[in-house]
Amino acid sequence: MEVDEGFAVRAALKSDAAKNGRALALKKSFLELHISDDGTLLFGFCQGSGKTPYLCSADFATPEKPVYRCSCPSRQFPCKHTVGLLFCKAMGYSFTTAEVPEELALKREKAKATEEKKKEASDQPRKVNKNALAKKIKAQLNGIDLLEKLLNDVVRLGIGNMNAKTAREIEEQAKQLGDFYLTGAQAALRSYTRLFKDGQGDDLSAASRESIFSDAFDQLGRLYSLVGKGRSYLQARLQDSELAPDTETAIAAWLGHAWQLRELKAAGLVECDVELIQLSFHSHDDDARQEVVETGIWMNLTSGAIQLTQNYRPYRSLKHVKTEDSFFEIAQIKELYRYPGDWNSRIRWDGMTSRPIEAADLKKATRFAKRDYTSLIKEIKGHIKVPLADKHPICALHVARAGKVAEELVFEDASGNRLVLSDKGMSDEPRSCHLLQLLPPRLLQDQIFVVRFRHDLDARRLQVKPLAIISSKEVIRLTL
Amino acid sequence: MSIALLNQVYDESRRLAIAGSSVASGDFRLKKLIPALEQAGAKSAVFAKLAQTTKALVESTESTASTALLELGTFINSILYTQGETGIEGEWKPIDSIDLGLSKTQTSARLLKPLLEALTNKGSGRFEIIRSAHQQGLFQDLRLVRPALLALDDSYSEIADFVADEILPLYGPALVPELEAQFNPNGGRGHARRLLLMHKLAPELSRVHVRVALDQGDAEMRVAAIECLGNSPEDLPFLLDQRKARAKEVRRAAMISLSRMNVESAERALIQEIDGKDLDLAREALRTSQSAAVLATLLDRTRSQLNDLITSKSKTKTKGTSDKRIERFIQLLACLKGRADAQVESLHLEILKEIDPIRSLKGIPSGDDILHTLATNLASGSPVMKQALGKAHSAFGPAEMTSIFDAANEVWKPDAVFKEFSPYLVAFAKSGKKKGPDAQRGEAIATALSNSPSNRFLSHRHASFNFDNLSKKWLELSIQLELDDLITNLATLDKKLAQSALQNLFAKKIEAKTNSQDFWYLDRVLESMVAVEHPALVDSVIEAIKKLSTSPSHNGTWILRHVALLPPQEALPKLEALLPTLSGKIANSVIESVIALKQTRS
Repeated sequence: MEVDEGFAVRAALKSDAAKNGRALALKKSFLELHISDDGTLLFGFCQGSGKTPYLCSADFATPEKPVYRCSCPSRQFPCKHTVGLLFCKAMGYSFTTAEVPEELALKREKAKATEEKKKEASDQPRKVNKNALAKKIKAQLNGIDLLEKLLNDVVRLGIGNMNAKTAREIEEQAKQLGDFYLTGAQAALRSYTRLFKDGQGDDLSAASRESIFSDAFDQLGRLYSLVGKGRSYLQARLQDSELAPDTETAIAAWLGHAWQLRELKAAGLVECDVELIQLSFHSHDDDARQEVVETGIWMNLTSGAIQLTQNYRPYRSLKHVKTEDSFFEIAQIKELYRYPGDWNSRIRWDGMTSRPIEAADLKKATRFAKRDYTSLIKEIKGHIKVPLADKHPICALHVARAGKVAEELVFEDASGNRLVLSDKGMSDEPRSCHLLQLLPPRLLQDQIFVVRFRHDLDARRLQVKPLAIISSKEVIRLTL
Repeated sequence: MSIALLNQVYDESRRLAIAGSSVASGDFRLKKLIPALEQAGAKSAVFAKLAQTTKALVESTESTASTALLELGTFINSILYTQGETGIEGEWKPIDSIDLGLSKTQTSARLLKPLLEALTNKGSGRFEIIRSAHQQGLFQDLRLVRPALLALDDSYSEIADFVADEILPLYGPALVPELEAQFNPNGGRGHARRLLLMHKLAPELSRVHVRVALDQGDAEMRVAAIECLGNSPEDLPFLLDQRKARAKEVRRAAMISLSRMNVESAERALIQEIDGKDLDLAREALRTSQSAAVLATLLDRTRSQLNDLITSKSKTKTKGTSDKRIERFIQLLACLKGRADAQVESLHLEILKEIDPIRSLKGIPSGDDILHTLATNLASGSPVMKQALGKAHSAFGPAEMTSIFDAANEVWKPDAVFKEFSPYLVAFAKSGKKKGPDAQRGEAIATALSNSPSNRFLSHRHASFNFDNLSKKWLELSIQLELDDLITNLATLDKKLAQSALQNLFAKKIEAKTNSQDFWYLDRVLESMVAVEHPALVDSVIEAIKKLSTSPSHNGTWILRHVALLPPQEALPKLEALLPTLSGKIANSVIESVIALKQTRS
């Protein structure tokens, strides 16, 4: 296993853990550094604040899924000692071959047994407590009734009569949806109510209020669809003898279903031996979900699909969930799990290795770009007209030339079809349109741009926001 | 498909959603659209369904209206999502690419996010993040251009000024279109910064904004705009007018801009200022004016004022009373500072001959104040003026000695300076608590020679004092007189001679008890050791780190400056061996420096 400083930094939960781990390595806090005979286990003793040194290890028995262990009391995995061990390896410190300590060998064996057991269990059909599940689905149906009632109240009240206070009152009532296992629906309702509050939770200015009316109207339609589709889905599921979730559409996630990898695998939503290149990465606060959402935008180099990784870090446990970061290599994944959904599906994996990006990867990525705007636009429109679809789909497109028409920034394909650029309504990532004029002219023609689409309800126009450029030498990121 | 009809249905349903569904039942505007929808519905199933949904809403009751409105809203939104315009008709223009030459976008989000927040949010600790990012070259990333521009409005002015002075100029004239797009002449200080930056980067292009700022801006904006004027004859009437402005700063800025204009009316205006009550405000403008007429008037008035002071001694007031004539003479003299013209030279030499009568002038200000201004002028004047000042060193008081010593160093041979001025230093070293005039002069010389080494070696703030032109004898004398401050500061005069002296000094200071004063000396000694490339530098820095680790209460971050300057090949193994023995804050600080040093090596 190739362990360089980049690997150690990525393994750390946060930048502080990386910093502290590096410091331990530099301070030579490791009394002993060892490697197992077969080279799959790094271990060492690190002098910490405890009386006895901590035994920490990095187990590469499964290279794409390393296991980090440490005898320190930290709740972070890997802790700073283990990260320090990785830094020692990356800095070229000498690791002597030694027998694996008994306590580690036991843990490895136990982990191996657990893994095998897990695998066996995953191969066998999982026993489901159908009575409990049916009870849960019935509760969800009751929750749907509550959502419908809240929605009708909101529509009767009118968008114009909403303000920060009423928004807070509705949010208070919406908390009950969580009791009915409808956390997704609760977040959808919050997406509506949060439109009426500014960053501090106060009323919006008159001008800002005007600007959100169309969006609010659209959100109501989305909630209405959620009620309708959600109810039909739950009723259908209740009648299904297996009570299985829908794997064709994203309705289960809309209601709040947290997909397990085994469920995705059982549904056949898994691809093997995939390579991914990251095109963009950003994190934003999602007030509606009460979470920090870290989104990686990747291109699947096998299928050309643009797919998303989403790391949700709840506000209340920000410290304990690993911070994701930009990734500048090719991710090699044995099993890539895909969530139900049609355009930019969410993906996850349980382990990965990496390699540097080569020119051939970029060339391959450019081949997947859409070149004919007419057919692409038709596809996009067909997608976004569905109320519960992702309204801001992402794709890679070939830009024959980028220019200006009547002061608007415009992309044009080889046939002269045009798309207008705008940052409006896409505030999760920083603005990017203005960066075009800071680019050298060679990057403004015959390039592959990764863009996010958005239909402006007020202007009634489909627009795009550039996120990155896939050039022949590198991926140029235009947003964070 | 009739888009207009669809848009009408959308507008009406949106209106009802805003008002609330309770008013939807029987809505006449929506009702009016039903026949047209039904007519279109005969040909299209979508319109038929739309007509049906619209009718359901119009005919709904209070209890069913909300559902009917949601049904219609969802349906019409879905249709309009497919009908959005996509392209744009019109003449194609290329993007005026201003290629800043930046394409570094491989900085990780973990690094960029806190920096973006520091540039765009509020709160403490942001300046350090921004400054450190600037040092690391992160601003080469084009994603940071706009946030940096927004930081011009930061309420913490240190950040806004730092961004305006250090960061944004990096992008060059290509940045002007962005600045132009953001510029608001009615804006506050941030927009004044934008104007000055535009003027700095592209003076011609910024003229139009300067005009607008003058017409519409507040006092702060107008001052900034006036500072940008003076390069075109068109500016003249306006600048002349601004001389009468109420705000002092506006008047001052207008005069400075007038001084850049080589036209008669501008000259006349400045000449009027010489005789007016705003002479103090006009000082900077008069100093920089290239006009012969202005200079001639200034010399004439100064000369006559001198004559008045010298010849009418009877008017001399007693100590402690105000004397407007002396005040005006000082103001006139101050307007000549920095000039080296022959006429200025000649006038100053004339004044120099009148030192004694001038010194005898009493009042507030007094003759001594005149002499101080005279010494300052001579020190910043022509070589002849500097020569004359050096020769007259004994005629001036201790307060002027720094200027005199500076001037002599510039124009005399090093040995001559040493011969003439070193006795003062000896007098200072041998003096007790009460110092006579010579010892005080020596103290001034010691102060000049012991300016903080960080000024000399690192930031060159004391660049006007030419230390390289000093005789090595100063170092010898300092060692002989045991003037530690001078030894550290003059070490570069004779690196070989300094090495053993510095080694001794270091040993003396490292053995001393650990108080802040000792650490301050250690800092100076190490700084000098860096400057003379002392062979024991690495070991000495390591000794100092060890000493710091035994004094946890002392903030030892100053040592990191020296660590950063160590030769990596020799220092890294020694530092890495030291790290395991360290603990606490100093350990973490040194680790950071070691990482940086490693990066330097790679």
